[in-house]
Amino acid sequence: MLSEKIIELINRYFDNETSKEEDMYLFNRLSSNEEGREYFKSMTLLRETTKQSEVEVPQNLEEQILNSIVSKQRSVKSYL
Amino acid sequence: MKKSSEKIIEFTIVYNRYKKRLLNYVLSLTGNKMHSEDILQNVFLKYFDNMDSLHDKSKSHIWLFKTARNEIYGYFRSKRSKADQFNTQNIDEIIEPVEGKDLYTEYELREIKEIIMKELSEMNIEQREPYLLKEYGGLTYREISFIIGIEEKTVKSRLYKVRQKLIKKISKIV
Repeated sequence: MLSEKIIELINRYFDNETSKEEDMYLFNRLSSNEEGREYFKSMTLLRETTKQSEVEVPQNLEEQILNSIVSKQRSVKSYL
Repeated sequence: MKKSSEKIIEFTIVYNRYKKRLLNYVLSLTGNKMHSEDILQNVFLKYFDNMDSLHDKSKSHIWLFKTARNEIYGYFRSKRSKADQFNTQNIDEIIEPVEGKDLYTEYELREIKEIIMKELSEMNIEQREPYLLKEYGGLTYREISFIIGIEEKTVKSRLYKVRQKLIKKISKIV
C-alpha cells in the first residue's frame, strides 16, 4: 500500500527538500514497498523526460545579448 | 562604481548559469520561441542595468526569475489574453530528439515526452508554473513561493497535483 506520507517524501526527495535522515527512512521503506518503487520509477521517468525537452540558447541570441551588454558598457564609459 | 571589466565578468558568470534555465521556463509558458528569446534578452539587459543595486548577489537567480515572470505576464497582457488561455502552440520546437534508450524504446520516450508537453500546455498557468520553476529553474519551494507570491504549502500541493496528473497519463503507456 502506497501511503500519502511516502508519496510526499518521494516528491520532496526529487525536489532536494529532504534531510539525510528522511532519505534513509525513505529508502528503507522502499526496499519493502513495490508500489513505492514503481512510483519512484515514474518520478524518475517524468524528471528525465521533462529535462530532455529543454532547449539550448541559440548562438545568435547569445551573441546579441553579450554584444548589447558590451555596447551598453561602452556608452556608459564614454559618458563618464 | 565597479570597474567595467569586473562588472562584465560578474554578469557573464550569472548569465551562463541561468540563461538556459530561464529560456526554458519562459518558453514553456509562452510557447513562442521568438517572444521567449526577446524576453530572455530583456531580462538580462535589465539585470545588467540593476546589478549594482542588488545587495545580495546570491539571490540574483530570484531576481532573474521574478523579472522574467513579469515580462511573461506583460507579454500575455499585450496579447490581451488571459494567461491561462495560452497553449504551447510551437510545441514541436520544444521537442528534441530523444537520446536515452536504457529502459524505454526511443519511440516510447518520444511519446511520453509529447504526452507530458501536451498535458502541461493544457493546464492553466497557475497549476503548471510551480512545476516549470522547479523542473527548469531548479528553484526551492521557498524561492518559488516568493516568485509567484503564494504560500510554500501551495507550491508543494500544486507540484504534487501536476506530477500526479502527468504520472497517471504516462503510466498508460509504460
